[in-house]
Amino acid sequence: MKPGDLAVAVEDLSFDYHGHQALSGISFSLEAGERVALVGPNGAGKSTLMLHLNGLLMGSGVVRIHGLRIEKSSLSKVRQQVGMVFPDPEDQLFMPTLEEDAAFGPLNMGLSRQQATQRARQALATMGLAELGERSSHHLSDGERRRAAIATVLSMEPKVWVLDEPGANLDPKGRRELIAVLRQLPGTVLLASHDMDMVVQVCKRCLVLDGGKLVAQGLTEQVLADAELMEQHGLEVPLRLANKQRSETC
Amino acid sequence: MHHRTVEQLAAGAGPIHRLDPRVKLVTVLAFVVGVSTLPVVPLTLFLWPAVLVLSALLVAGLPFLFVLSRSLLVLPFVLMVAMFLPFTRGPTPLWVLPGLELTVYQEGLQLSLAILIKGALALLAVEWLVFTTPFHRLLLAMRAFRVPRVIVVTLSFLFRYLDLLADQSQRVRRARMARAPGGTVRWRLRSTGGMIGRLLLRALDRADRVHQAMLARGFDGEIRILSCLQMRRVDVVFLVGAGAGLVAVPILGLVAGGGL
Repeated sequence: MKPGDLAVAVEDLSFDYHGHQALSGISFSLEAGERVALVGPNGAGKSTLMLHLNGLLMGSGVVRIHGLRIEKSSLSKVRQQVGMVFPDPEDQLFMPTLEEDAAFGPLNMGLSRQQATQRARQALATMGLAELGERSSHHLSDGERRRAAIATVLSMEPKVWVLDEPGANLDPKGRRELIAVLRQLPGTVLLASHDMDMVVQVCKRCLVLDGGKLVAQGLTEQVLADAELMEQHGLEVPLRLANKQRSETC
Repeated sequence: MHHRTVEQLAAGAGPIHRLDPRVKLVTVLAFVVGVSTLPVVPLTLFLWPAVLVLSALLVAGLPFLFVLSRSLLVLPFVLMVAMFLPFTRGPTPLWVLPGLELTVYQEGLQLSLAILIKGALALLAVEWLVFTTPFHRLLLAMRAFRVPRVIVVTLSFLFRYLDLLADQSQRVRRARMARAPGGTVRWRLRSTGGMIGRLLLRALDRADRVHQAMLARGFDGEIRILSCLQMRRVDVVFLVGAGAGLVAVPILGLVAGGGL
């Protein structure tokens, strides 16, 4: 496969945060259309790594998005291709109404008001929020707010999705809806989550990050079923996989 | 939260609610200026502006008690200004307060009453504007009148995140009460200082994260928005009608002052 066919290619990425080595020598790649999880304990460097994929942080090493190297001059192009979903939807919904929020990205991409309105409405409708465009995010439930945050990125039609803890604070119903949404996102997906069962349901492949280093990667069902590896890095085998193992040994 | 109730009121769909916010803003500004330039006597001068603002409130269908309760929050400040005037502005004495040796003067009393009435009328007009216009539409109107972008954007963010900040301070306060109810005044002051500091830090963190989220969606220092305001025929009709009503205010003043 040529490097240009890769949606995300990270080579030897390191980042020093106020004297603390947050990331060291990270290399991995995502093929276009792949859904990959990023797991690891708190403080492993997951968020730091994700911020590099959108050029919000820039360390040493090379990050390419569909062949385009992230540097100052390519930032606006990169940000059109990489959609970031942040852990707290309140941070992402900063405009007075949902429709304005969903149109914020498209307008910055240079689309006309008419096109941006269309994109915003479409994205809100896809997330089941068509009726709420004129509302402010105050009046939404946590689940709706989460989907609204995703809609603000969906309207930009990114090729690569980078989602940092999108399942935090959701009730079971909201979580189920989110999983359904994540499974249908168009394009390449990198999902960071502590919800191991969600990871199993959404991502075929996974990366394990600890102490700023990539310590394992492979098929989700194999990597996350490795009890010793999980224990070692402050994680746990998801119930879904643990039950499966148990029923196989019986 | 009170400002949520205001937001719900403002989100209504009545004819006044749907007026162009620029039209409403101009009308209210003209009204406030007109009323505040009226002479002090006779008090009957204020009848016409009172009729104007009360009928505006009535047409907008605003709940009377709510408007009154909001007014009572602000009026004490007007009262503070007006309450000492009757004793200090001379020269015509009306009567002497028994026991206190304080003389009430006619001119001072008139001025004091006029200030109270002007304050109340201006306040009602502003309430009419704020209770019938969603905040973001008001901001659009301010932008249309060339209020600097940085002020409008700052107000927009303030309005958006005020609730979250209030929630946070509520949580911190509850956590403190859970650990140590009561305590000495000195201790409470100290811990309140700490709480304010922590809230400030959290707000700064939040600002950082919001900025990141904006950058991630292509923000380059220029806020671009969808909404644009459009004048409809009904807006023009309202503007002409309100203009006619308002022009009468200074004319009444001139007539009373002997200028006409």
